[in-house]
Amino acid sequence: MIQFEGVSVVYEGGVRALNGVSVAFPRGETTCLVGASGSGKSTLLRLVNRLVDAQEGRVLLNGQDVRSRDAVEHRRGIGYCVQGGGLLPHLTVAENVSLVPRLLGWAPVKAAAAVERTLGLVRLDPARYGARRAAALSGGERQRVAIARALAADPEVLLLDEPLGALDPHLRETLEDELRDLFRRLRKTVVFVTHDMYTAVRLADWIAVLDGGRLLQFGPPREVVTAPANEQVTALLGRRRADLERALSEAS
Amino acid sequence: MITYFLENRGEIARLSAEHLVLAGTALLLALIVGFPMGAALTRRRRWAPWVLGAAATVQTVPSVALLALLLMLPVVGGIGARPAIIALFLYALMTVVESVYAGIVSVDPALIDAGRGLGMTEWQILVLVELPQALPVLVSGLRMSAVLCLGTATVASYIGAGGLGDLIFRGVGRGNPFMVAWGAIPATVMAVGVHLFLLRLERRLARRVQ
Repeated sequence: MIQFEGVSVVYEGGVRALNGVSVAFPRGETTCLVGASGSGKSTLLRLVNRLVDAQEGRVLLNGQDVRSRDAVEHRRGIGYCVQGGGLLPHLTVAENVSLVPRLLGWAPVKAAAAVERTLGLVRLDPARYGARRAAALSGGERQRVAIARALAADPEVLLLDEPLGALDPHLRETLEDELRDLFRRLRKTVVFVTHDMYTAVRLADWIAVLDGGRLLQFGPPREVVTAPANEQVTALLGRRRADLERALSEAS
Repeated sequence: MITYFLENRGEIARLSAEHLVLAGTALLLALIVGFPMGAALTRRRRWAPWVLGAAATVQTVPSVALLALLLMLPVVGGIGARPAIIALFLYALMTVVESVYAGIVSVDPALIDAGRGLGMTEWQILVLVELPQALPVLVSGLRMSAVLCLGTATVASYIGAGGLGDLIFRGVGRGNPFMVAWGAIPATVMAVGVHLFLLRLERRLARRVQ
């Protein structure tokens, strides 16, 4: 469980990214953070692995204040994936995927096994892809490898910041379906940032809607779609209400 | 021309080797000192304009003037190879510092963020992400320093440092164009060779990091 208690973040230069946010994301479930750019959704995600620290309030992971832990150690226990994947282009697929296991000091055999296992989870053949350089992959393959990298050390929590944002819509939907099944099967606590309500409805067990650094609504997708808390949430639902309702019935 | 070469090939070879040692030593020292300096500067970016500004100023001092200054300085100065290497080192150092700094600063911030998010320490971010990504820019700087050193090393003969400049200056003094030519040709060949080799390396590295 990830709890935010009255969290505020002010960036250098006085930009207030989050303003008194209190919310809890249940363990083993997927929470999507939805909002326009500048809404604070990425900041909320980055609080969890201490890429950002709050000026006010606390962030608790399974009841423990994240700031009570060494930031570097803390991050190694949490899966992290960003838009475009953030793969290191000078390394191979296997080297990228085994980064966190190697940072954790795992034995090479154990790290190699983790590479095999996680590439399998994202449906890439380790024998075919392991030795390829990350730069030589297609956009979709890159995203799969990035998610495998986030999963490699088998973390309890996964933080995904618009992981599929750079892909074309068709490929994105395919990967979204795969990811939803994967997250449910592995019972990971997933925090997934997206600007797209449609993606959120398809993937999430819980949706947190943010705007201007404030939490507008938190609830299951059905509740957000059928009973938006206010006009701003309605505006974020957009004109594709029919699509969203179809996605709701498909996801359940 | 050919006759001159055949009669003096021993001396030409010896002076070429001297030349290479002068430029090579200066370059090696510049790398050893400049590499950590450039990397450290990226962690103190507020100092960068000052350090890089000072570096650019040193480079604007004409080489003859710098050598003349060193000639008159006590302890580090005087005549011979040592002050010449110091002068070449100063020129090369600035290019190395600049290119290490520029290379690291130009690394995609998303890669650094990914590294940090995965749990790399600041040192691991430098070694595993920033330096490998900065390598092409770094080699480019090294290439420019190397060519500069090999060229400027001819002038170092002026303060008795040896090298191919000896042939050039003596040739001018005696009005012997062959002597001048056989001072200039090996220096040029070395510079062009190093330039082409490092350029190829740079292009291969650039393909790797994209």
